[in-house]
Amino acid sequence: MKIRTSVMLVYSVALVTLLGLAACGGGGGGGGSGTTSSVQVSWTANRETAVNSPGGGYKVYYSSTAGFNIASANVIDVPYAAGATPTSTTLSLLTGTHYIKVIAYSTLNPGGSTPSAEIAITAP
Amino acid sequence: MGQQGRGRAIAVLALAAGAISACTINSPPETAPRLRSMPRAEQADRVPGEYIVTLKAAVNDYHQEVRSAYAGFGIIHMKPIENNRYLLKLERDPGLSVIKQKAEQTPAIESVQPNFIYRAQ
Amino acid sequence: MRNIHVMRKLVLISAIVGLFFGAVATAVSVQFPVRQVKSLPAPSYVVDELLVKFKPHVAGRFKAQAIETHGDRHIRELTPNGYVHVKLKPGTGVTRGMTLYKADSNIESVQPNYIYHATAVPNDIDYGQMWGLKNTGQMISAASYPTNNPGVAGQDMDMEAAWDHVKDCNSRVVAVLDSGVNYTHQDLAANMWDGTAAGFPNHGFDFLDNDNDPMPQDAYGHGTHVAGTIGAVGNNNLGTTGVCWQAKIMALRVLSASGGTTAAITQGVNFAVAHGAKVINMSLSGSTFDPAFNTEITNARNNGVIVIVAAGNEANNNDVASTVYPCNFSQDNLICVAALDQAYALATFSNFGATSVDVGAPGVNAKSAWPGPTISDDFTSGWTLTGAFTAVSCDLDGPGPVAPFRMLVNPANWCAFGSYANNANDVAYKTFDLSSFLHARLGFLFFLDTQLNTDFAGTAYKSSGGDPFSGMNITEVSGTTNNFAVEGSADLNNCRTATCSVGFRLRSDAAIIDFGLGILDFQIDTVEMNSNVYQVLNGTSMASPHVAGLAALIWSYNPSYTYPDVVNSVKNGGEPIAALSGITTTGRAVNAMGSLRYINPPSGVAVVIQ
Repeated sequence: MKIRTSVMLVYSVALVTLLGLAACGGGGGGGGSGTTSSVQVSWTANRETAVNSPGGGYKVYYSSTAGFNIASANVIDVPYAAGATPTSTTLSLLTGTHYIKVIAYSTLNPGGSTPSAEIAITAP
Repeated sequence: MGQQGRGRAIAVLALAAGAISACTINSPPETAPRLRSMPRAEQADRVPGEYIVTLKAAVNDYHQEVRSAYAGFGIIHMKPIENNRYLLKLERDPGLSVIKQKAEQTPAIESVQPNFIYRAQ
Repeated sequence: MRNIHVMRKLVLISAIVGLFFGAVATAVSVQFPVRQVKSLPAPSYVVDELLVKFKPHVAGRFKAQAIETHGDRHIRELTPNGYVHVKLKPGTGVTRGMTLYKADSNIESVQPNYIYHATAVPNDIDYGQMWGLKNTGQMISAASYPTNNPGVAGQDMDMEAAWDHVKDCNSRVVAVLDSGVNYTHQDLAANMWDGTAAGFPNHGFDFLDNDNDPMPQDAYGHGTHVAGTIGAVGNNNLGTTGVCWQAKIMALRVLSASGGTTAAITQGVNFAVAHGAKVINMSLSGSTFDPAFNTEITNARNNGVIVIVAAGNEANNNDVASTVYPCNFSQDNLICVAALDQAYALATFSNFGATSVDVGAPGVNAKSAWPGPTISDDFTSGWTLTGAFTAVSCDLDGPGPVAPFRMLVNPANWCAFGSYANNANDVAYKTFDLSSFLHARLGFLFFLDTQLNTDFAGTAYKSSGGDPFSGMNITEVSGTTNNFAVEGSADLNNCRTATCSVGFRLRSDAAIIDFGLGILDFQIDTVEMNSNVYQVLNGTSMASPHVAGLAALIWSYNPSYTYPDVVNSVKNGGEPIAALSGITTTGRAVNAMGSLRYINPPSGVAVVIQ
């Protein structure tokens, strides 16, 4: 009995190693649940003066649900700073498909524009 | 038609001493003299005797071809306006379909149209 | 100035004696100090508050609940518009707060609690009459559109809030394709395009007379009025203000009092585009699809030029049989404008169209610049009357109740359908001092019934005074106007003396008589150097330049905008109003502050895994 258990254990470890699964936690490139990808989102600069002025900026919303409502989504603020409003940002996205929308805002319109068309990206 | 303080309408210039219409002799109308607008459908939408002629690009001797086509109607003048377009003024207006027929027979001509009338609003 | 309250649309049947070039007037450039009202610095809204509007059916306890769920505090209910003033919990912020509340199905709308500071109010003397820019529910004087005068406070383009951010449209030249502009008008001179470097020292061109002077040679004031709506000098303690306080107006004469043509208008569009105009206003319309005109609109589009046009004044639906051009052209650089009244109802005369007409703008009782004083005469005094010519008051039939009209008639009992005499040679005339004017034109209405080609009514003028029919400038007509009043006119440019006599004649042969001649609404329109005259008018012609000025204003504030950006801002920044719903493409009245607030959704979003 004792020998069988050891053999089972050896087989289990071998199996785990074969599948490339770490025994205990720990990420590492090449995929697998629990890993994140760095994703750059960029867009064409809005031409509104106020968006490109202090108090202006963009918000990048992302969710794993297609057609999501921005109220329930994750958001990254990309405000005017140091003389310009950036037109890109980097997200850390978990494996899977994510949906992204961007709005622009200004001090005249803090609620912001209607969102851009939704874009889907599948993170590995 | 101007919906303005004085309600001035713009309409076609009529002949100076021409008749307005046949006269009805001494039968009083049923109603008082009236102020009323002329329905839009009755207003002329184009200047009689005038056409915009568009020539094909890079045409050199347009005068000859166009004048030959329309000389029969008495060309008063042919003024360049812009972009290969000319304003043709004729003594006798044969109507748009005849003008178009002649244009089709004239290789130098790209298209013809009336000189339409526009009114202030 | 007499105001006629009866709507009259008339047919011009008499010839103009002749058009003559007037004196070329030199532009007078006047600088006025611009007093800026200082505004408080940003932010423009309270950073931790919102105004939340719940849908009508939502009970009070649900409102309270909704707010508490977010951790926010209910301050008060604002009556009567149903907004609830909410204090956001620390850390939320207005943008996030708006997103959260908008997602709630019980909520109709949410907005920041904006801070209103000393908004820019110009000191122009007649500003208080400019309901379209600021509607206080004021009564407009000398109004010719009686419905909804006074109107409803707040129904306006929200200019004062917008002027707090931008008033100067100098960076975008606006071309006015119209009847010409009196560019010496005291409230326009400083805001005219300077075309000197390009070889056009008089601020534009005249495509009817084919010369470089766009003064209204026939004293037709329409174009001057339109120009003032766009850019009458603002805050110069004088007259009115334009949508733009400062502007560069390019004056292109393509219309006369009797209309304009494809040839003139296409040349005008071409010129405007070629000489750097970015906005073109055309308060004009025709009925037939015009290929050459269509090509020029496309040419303008290819050069990033926006075209603003009037919808027309026939109360018609432009989408169906009675098409209107340029309104019905389909290029996306063209905006077609309907007219609104002082309560933001559709003006009764305004055309509309669910696919052809885009927006509405103020278009009744609009006060603006006018080329010169109008000399009106009701035949009461100063007239030499011979034969059967008589000055009377006569009841005419017209739409709605009309008061008796002052008229000059022959025979004396014309009003009761009397007949003139055989062998008549009767004249009526009066002498006017027209020596101070640059141009002058007589206009009047007349009823005519004479024996065709043997009995005649005539108009005449004589610059040395006395019986004008002893001179050479005579026009005659014969026949009948079929019991309708029609328009008559005479160019008085060659009569600009201190003793210009103007008059009428009825002459008849020995046999057969008819009802004769009845004249009313006699007035001489003038063009005056340095005019300080203003006029109140109605029309989609007046609505269009409100939008042209707005387009220039938006573009000046956002110089990086492309033409589609400006068009989107004009259309989407407007205020939805019931009167335009379903009968225009946007259902909106243009709104300057709404347009400045409007932000295009970001485009070109790209996502790349790093």
